[in-house]
Amino acid sequence: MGNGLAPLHYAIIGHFTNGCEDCAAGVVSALASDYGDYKMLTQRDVEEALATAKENGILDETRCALDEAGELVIYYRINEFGKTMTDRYLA
Amino acid sequence: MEQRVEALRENRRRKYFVRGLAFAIASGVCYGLYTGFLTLAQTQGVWGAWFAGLEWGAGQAALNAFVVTFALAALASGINDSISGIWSLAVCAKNRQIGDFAKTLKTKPGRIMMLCAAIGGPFASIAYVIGLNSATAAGNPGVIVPIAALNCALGAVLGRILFRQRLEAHKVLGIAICLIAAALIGGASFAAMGPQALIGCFFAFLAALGWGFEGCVAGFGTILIDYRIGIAIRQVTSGILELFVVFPLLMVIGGGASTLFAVVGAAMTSPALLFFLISGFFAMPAFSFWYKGNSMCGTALGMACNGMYAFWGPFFIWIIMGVCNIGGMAADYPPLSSVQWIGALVMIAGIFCIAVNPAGLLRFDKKEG
Repeated sequence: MGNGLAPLHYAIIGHFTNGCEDCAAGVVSALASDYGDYKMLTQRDVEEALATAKENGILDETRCALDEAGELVIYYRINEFGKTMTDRYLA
Repeated sequence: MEQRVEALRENRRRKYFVRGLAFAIASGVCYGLYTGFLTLAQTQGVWGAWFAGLEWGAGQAALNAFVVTFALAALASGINDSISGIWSLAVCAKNRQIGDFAKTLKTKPGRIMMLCAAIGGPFASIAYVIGLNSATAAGNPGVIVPIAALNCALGAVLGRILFRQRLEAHKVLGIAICLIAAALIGGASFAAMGPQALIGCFFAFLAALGWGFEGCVAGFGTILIDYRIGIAIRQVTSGILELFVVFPLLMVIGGGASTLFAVVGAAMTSPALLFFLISGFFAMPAFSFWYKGNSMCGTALGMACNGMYAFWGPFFIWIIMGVCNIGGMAADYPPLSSVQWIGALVMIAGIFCIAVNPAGLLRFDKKEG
């Protein structure tokens, strides 16, 4: 893992800094090309990371939907506080 | 359709909340276990001789009071934190996170984490062990634990001073309840055991101050860092600082420079190391679940659940050393006095008052029901 990639957790939050709306599955597939060999890049772990970021005021929940399998999908978007935090600490 | 989505979402939210709560409560239980085994470790092998003021090793003279009180606390805390650092790194290795661990160290949140470790480790953890040891010498190690659990109250006060966080009426009330409970426990043990217990309480209060600061500031770092990496940074930094900086410094100050290596050698080859392995093993989830719980269900509630070790600490010391008689000194660890139990329970009530606005909780329940 001596690659030039940021730590996975930073990349998960960093995925939202361009202002896009996305869900856990979206994050996993977006990061898969770079972080595909990371053991922690799973739907379950990313889901929890996003929920925690929401709990800590970095991401906002935008909407919910059901996927084809009838599973709940939650979408998130970064907010002002989140932008300030990522600019200040992850830039 | 809408209703089904809403129901699923509510279900998901509740599961997440319960999971966060479970982490926070488990952290308090692990804290109690870590405290119990750390207390036990320091009664075993060469540690027993050191604290009893006896000759040790191959006829080495007894260590002086300063070295016993301060340097040995740093050594015990350093061994415990280093071992838990190794356990944490093992977890990271299992999750293939070692690369991320190294990279995180070089980033700003990683550095904030290291600062927290410096305050929560060498400062607070050593003060905690000094407190534990003074209270053990006075006859009952359990009494200082609730004082150290005040970190929750102090965290709220520090948050107000440092980050201008709001301090609502229910939090002020909770802090007052905690202080009364601490006075109850401290006062009762002072009457029963004399000034040494009071010294223990004083150092436990310093530990609470350090951990209050840590809980307050680490929240900032852990929003962005995976908690497993966060705890590895904390324990490794803290263990290295305690073992290689604070401990030698305190040995030199205490006039024990010439015996420094002999003391380290004796500690590392003592059978007590087995119990440090266990205490370090529990210290890892104690701190990592604390961070994880804080970030999942909010710092206030997270710290409140963690603060329940005011109960778990004395409880496990009694279970491990009294009831199970590990270490063969059951007679020295009688059940806690009723004042201690009541004090601990009052403090838990105070902690919850800080964490949760009773009015808000009632509203939440109504909505959930």
